[in-house]
Amino acid sequence: MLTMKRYIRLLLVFSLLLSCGEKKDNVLYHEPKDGISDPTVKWLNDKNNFHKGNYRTVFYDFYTRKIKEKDFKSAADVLRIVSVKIVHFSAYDKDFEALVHSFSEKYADKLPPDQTTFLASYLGCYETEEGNFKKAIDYFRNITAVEAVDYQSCVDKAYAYFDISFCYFSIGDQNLALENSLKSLHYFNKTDNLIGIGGVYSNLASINMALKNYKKGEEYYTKSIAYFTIAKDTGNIFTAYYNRIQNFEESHNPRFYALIDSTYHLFKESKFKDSSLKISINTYYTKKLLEEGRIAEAKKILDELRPEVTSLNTTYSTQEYDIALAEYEIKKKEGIVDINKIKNAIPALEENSNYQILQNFYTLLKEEALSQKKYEQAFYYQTELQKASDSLASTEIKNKALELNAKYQAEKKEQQIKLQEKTILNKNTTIALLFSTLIGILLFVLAISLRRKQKQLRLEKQAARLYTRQLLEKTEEERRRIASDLHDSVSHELLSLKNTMEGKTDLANTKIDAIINDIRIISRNLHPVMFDKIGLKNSVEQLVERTQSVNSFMVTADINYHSSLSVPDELQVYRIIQEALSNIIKYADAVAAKITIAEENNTIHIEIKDNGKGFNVTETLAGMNAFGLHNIIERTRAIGGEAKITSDKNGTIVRIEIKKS
Amino acid sequence: MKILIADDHPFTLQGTKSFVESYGYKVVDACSNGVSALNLISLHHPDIAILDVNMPGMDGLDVAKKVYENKLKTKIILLTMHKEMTLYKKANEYGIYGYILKEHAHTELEKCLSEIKKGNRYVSENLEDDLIVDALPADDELSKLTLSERKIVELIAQQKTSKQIADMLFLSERTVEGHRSNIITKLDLPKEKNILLIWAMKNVKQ
Repeated sequence: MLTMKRYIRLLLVFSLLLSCGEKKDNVLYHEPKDGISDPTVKWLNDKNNFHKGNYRTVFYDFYTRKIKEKDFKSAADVLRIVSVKIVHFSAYDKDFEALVHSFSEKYADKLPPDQTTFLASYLGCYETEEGNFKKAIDYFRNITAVEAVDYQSCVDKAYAYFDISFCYFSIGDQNLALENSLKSLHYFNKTDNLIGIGGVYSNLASINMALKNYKKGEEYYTKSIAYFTIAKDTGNIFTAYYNRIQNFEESHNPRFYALIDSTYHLFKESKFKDSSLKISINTYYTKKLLEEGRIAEAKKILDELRPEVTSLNTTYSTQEYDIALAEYEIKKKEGIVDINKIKNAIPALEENSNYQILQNFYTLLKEEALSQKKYEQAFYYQTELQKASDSLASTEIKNKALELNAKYQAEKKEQQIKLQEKTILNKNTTIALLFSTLIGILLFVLAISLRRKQKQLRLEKQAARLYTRQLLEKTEEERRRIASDLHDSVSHELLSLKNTMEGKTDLANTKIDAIINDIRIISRNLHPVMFDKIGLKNSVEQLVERTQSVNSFMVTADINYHSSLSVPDELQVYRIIQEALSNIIKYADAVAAKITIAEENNTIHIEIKDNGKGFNVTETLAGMNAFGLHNIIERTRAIGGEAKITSDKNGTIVRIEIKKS
Repeated sequence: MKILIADDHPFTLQGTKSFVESYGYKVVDACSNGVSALNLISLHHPDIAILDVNMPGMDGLDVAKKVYENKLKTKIILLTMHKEMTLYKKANEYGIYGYILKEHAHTELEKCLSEIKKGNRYVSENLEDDLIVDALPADDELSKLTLSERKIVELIAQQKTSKQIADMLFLSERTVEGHRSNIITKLDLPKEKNILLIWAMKNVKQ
């Protein structure tokens, strides 16, 4: 794939002296009529004489004479005429270059600046031809700095912008290329130089092509060809055609090969002499031939072209030829004969940012590597090719960015908004997540502390219960001890006393008996007699009997109990019943009471009920005079039971439930 | 008749021994705790063992229980300060032969021993008295009745039915009916309709 763009500037410079004489509106400067009087200069100005063997000698003689005569104006004129010819035919040589340098150093300041711009122009063109675009741009910049005062200086300035545009175009900076092209068009429009205008259109077409805007490119080419045709500028017409070929190639236009064919034959028929253009068009033609498999014909053309390439000896044309040759060699499956030639050219191309040709070279090298099945190399070249292509495209992207600026900005903004929304959403999510985590942790901590507190509370409760139990048991123990001391010791002593006093006084005996009886009652109230021997059932029954006899209160007991509690617990149950019964007798105003003890598999139910007047349990428990009730509740709790007290006007029921351990 | 005496009060032990010997019985062993008592009983097989109830180690009841369980021939007399009927009932489960209150030992011990010698059992008269003792003004007919019976009569006087009475006293109706016929028997009333109601109305002070 060849993507070279043939510049037209060279031929435009040539056409400088070709008059077309057509008037245009808004034209400031008109091309002066040929006012050359000196026959030698006239001869030198005839392009047909350029290829004659004595052309250089004639020039050097004339030039040296004028310098000697100190006619610097004439020397500059002739120097300009020849430089334009050299540039046009790309026939650069070292001697002439040295001459240009020496003139610009020694004599340029003796002339007004607008008359020496051709020096910079020549050097710029030379550097361009050599591919040193950055250097070239510097030269052309010098020209644009000069003010346009007449036709010549205006055209010079226009060309300088045009050349800069081309350089930028070659480097791939289409932005600046476009900008400079438009400046160039501006200055050309001040003159009646149609070729210049056509050239700018051609350039604009190339730029559009580079931006892959092929349709627009084709339009500009057509426009430029029209201008060139009016100006009867054959060279530029072909250059434009050449560029069109490239445009078709790039855009994969089906008329690509047809255009190559017609252009080639037109060029041949025109007998137009231009080596550079000939090489360009011919190499394209070989491409067509190779495509059609006419390898021998392609070889013939290349062979014919070789001397011309050698004699022209410009980098561009040489590279163009080399690529065509390499393509031929690949097609012939011989492999590239002199692959180093291509490889060696690469660093210079890279240095000059000549990505267009670089791309072609890498394409060749890749194809060569593929044909030799060196895939690793092929891959490397493909990568490099991509890089070169990207370098070109980078500017393209820049330009597109400009074009699509508004759209892009809007999109960007939208994206930003979306991003912000997303960020906000993310933030919210994060916040929500953090928040819920925090709450989770808090709840967790709370749950743990609650559980701990509960545990602590439970332990405290347990401890309190244990304490109550121990307190109650100690109290019972104490009471039991006091009761037995009273009963066993004091009573026995009294008994002994009674026995020793036997028969002495009846009064004393009676008194002693009464004391013994009192002690017995006190002792019995302190602690039920022989509780551990007699057991809960019998003790309760005795309590019932005594209550009946002592208090004349009707109590019945229904006891179904088989000693499944420990003696201390039984004693507590006895005390609870005692307390409840005592409460009934004191406050209930009841006709009767009933005690029930029922033993089930796992629980013991104790119930003390009466048919008294009842009371408000909640109020009473909250009040100060509820020791009896609290006594019942606390004792129950101490032995691991549960007490429920219900009361209404029909009576009161105390229910105790104890789980068997 | 070989007799064993156990009491943790030395004076009482001595006193009891003197009494028993003064009645012409031979005291073979005297000890101050239940464990010694049981050992000596197992060893010497006395005819009678007079045991205090409250003793350190094994008490009188424990010894009585062991003797009963081991089917020893020794007959047990409990000599105690405890008047409670429940205690006597408990002791009776172990087949004791005598239950005497220390307060009345000087009058009852000799009687008890002679009864046992004849093959009978003896329970302190004062023990049975105890339950009624605290009770009552004894001079009217109602005093012949137990508390339950008196309550029933009172309620009959208030013209309650047997069902109502049963509910009020937390008794079954059958129990109330039983009490009614007992009361009629106790008061020696003629078998007439509503005789108890009429009697109750007349005799219960409202």
